[in-house]
Parts: sequence; C-alpha cells; structure tokens
Amino acid sequence: MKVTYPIVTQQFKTSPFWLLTIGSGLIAIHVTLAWRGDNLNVLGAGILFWVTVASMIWQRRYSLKLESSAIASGVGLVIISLILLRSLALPARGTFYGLMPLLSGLGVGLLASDFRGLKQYWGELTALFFIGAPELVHLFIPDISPITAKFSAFLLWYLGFEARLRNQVYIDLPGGGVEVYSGCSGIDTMTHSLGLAVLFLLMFSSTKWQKVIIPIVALGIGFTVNIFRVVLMAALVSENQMKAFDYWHKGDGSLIFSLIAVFCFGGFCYWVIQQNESKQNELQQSDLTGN
Amino acid sequence: MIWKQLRLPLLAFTGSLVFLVLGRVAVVPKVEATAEVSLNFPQDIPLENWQSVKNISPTNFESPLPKADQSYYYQKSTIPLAIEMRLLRSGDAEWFIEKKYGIYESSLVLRQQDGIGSYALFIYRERAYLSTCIVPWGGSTFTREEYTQSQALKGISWQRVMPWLMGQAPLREQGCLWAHLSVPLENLSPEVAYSTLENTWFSWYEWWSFYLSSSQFLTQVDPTRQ
Repeated sequence: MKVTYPIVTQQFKTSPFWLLTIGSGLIAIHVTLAWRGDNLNVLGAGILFWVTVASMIWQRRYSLKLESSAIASGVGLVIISLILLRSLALPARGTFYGLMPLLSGLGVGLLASDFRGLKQYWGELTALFFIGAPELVHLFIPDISPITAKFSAFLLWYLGFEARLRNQVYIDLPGGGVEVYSGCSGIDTMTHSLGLAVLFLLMFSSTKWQKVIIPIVALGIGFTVNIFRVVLMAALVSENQMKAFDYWHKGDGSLIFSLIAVFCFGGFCYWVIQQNESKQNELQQSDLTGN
Repeated sequence: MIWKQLRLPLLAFTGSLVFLVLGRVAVVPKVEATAEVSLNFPQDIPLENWQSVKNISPTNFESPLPKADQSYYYQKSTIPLAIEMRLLRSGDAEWFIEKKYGIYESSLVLRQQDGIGSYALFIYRERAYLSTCIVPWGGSTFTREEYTQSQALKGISWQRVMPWLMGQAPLREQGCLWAHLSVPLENLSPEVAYSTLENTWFSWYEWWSFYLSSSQFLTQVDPTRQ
C-alpha cells in the first residue's frame, strides 16, 4: 500500500523547505532583537536589506545549487549555534550584533551550498554585511569628527556666524558652543548611505563608471547632510534654543536628517535609472531604424 | 551515502532550534550582564618582619581617597606602615591617583617586578606611596593602558565563552584589587622608603595571590567558576 501525504507534510521532506525555515527564523531573530533593543535605525534599515536579500534569493531559487557536504554543514551549524546562543542575551548593539546578519548568511549558505557554493551568494552576503556595518565601522575607520567639525565651522562662518574651531572638535559661537563627538561625526549616516548604494548596485544593472561614482555620491550625501545637521545644532545652541536643540539632537528631529539623506540619494538613484533607460531606448531605436 | 540520509534531519533539527530560540528571544525579559565583584577581606594578615597593630599614629593621615574596603596597619621599629585595599570594578587605579592626588603618569615612578607586574611609587605630603592593582587573571598592573592590554591578552579564557554567549557574564574578566601602601617620610629618606615599600609589596602580593587563588574573589568575579 502506498502512503500518500498531504502536500503540506510533503514539504517537510525537502531540504529547501528547511533552509527557508532556518533563514527566515534567523531574519526574525535579528529583527526582533533590534525591536526589543529599541535600535530603530537598524530595525528600519535591517528590514529593507533583509527584504532585498530575500527577493534576490527568491528570484534565483530554481538556479541555485543546493548541495552541501558534511563538513560545510558542520561549520554552518556551528556558526548558527553561536548566533542562537548569543541571541539569548538579547544583544541589539555591538560588534557581535553587527556581524550577525553576515554570520547568518554564511551559516545558511554553508548548510545550503557548501564552501564552493558560497560564491553564488556574494551579492547577498555583501548586502548582509552592510546591515551591521554601522556597528562595525568604528573598528576599521578612525574618528572623522575633526573633519566634520572643520567643515561645519567653515559653513557656519560662511553663513555669517562668528564660529571658531577649538581643539579640533569644539565649535565656539558667541552664544555657546558644541562639541562634535564621534556620534555626530556623520560616519553612521555615511555608512548607511553606502549600504543603500550597495543595494542599488546589486539590484540594478549599472555601468563600470556608475559602480565607482554611486558609492562616492552616497558617502558625499551622508557627509554633507550631517554637516548641515551640525550647523543647525550649533546655531540653535548659539541662539539658546535648547528645546529645539534636544528635538533635533536626540528626538524625532534626529531621524529627519537620515530621511533627508535617504531622499537625496533616492533622487540621485532615480536619475541614474532614467539615464540608463534613455540610453537603452536610444539603442533600441537605433536597432529599429537599422543604424 | 550516510550524509545524504542525515542532511534532512540535520536541517530539520537546526530549523526547529532556530524557531525555539526565536520564541525565547521574543518573550524573555531583558537582563543586563554584569560582573559582581566582592571579596571577604581577612582581618589579620601576617607580614614578615612587620608587627601587626590596630592603629598607627597619626591614624588619620591626610588621605584624599574614599574609605578603604579594608585597612591594615603594621609597625617595624619606628616605621608605621598603612595598607589600604579596595576593589575596583573599573580596574583603573591610575584614575584615583590622578583625580585625588593630582599626580599624573609623568611624575610617577613606574617600576616593574618580574613575575608580578608593575607598580607606581610617588610622594605626597610627607608620605611615600606604592600603588598597584592585583588583577583577577594574575599579576598586577597600574596604568589603565597596562590594565586594558593585560585584560585583552589574559582576561579571556575558554571557560568564559559559554556564559558570555548566554549573556550571563562579560567575555573578559574585569576589575582588580587595588593595594595602596604608604609610610611617612619622618625618619626615612625617599629611597629607603621606596625600597621598604617595594619589599613589603612583594611579600604582600605573594600572600594575596595565594589567598585569591583559593578564595571567593575569583568565583564571584567570574560566575563560570562557581
């Protein structure tokens, strides 16, 4: 007698089903940790990046090579176990949390496609790295706040304020002063914009030239928007508007600048896409007319 | 062949594990990982060549420091010796010397003893001081750079990895036991005072390293050894 299973239970007997379960579970853990730790920046960006990565995988689901050796699976299992154990402590910040998306990707990748198969996920893994990049960036990059302070003081002076730079990071104005500490250096906004640039390059086709220029523009927008933020802070302190200062510094206002940076970069990307499309149209036109 | 049969159960097992953890992460209340540092200070500690006394005069020599966890007093002929012991969670004894005595690294005499570690010597208001911090992983450090470096190198061990992963303890051991020895300069030249303090410190350290290795200090600094 042949036993027939309902369709649902048959899914349990396929490895892609379980790989999907593991992957989505790890995503849910990462997002839940950000949510429980009130890490709103990572929560927002994380969801965007995870959705992108998931859709990139989903589009290629029939062409992926899904075979893995015992050794690779063992390594993958160890990585995932580390993530699970560490997750029990509810981290929402820090180096390990920053590495979690990339480690999750590596773990699932090894379980799914062996060491050699990891190649097919390089784009996804890059995107995953950028989810955690704001937590990791200080490990690689020195504090850029003196540069931020210098540009901000210059802009303030240009706008007509009597701004003076002291000890590299202190901007003194007649009515008060601000210290540009590492949290205000803009490196977070820059990393975030760079991550978006990477997503854009992964999702849309682009020329070699664009591959260079888009990340640079992203970094530039992040840096510039932050300069304006610091200038606004300094001006508010100078005018003794402390309530407004708190709103723009720590309150909802601080998120608005991230929003502005994202919008600026979004606009730039839109323009790039239109450029590419019109070029494409021209080529098609010339094909049609036979020139 | 066996692997082909094993792969699916392994994936199913991993997937179930992931969802178990997800469930727990979603509902578990948040607790901060902290290292509790505490220590039973013995009342009397024998010190070679020194006579333990209840008090020395002047008892309250001008100390800018907060109250010690435990003070020890000794006498040798006319020399009174005071030893103050404190647990520091930060591991930063240098900070107190900077803030409370206003003495910075450049004006300290920093010395190194093989097999123990470094210590600082200085003079403040007619007293000579020896200050250093016994670290839980063995040895002593004084400056915060030394402490951080030593902690990064030796404060980590395999037994700590599991509790760290579970969020129960920091990955590296933390804190130190600050020893602060002093003698008045009334009948002593600074050089003699320094060498007296140094010799005392070496036997003092020996006693404490033996005591710490068998006491609760380490167990309570380090939940993994409970």
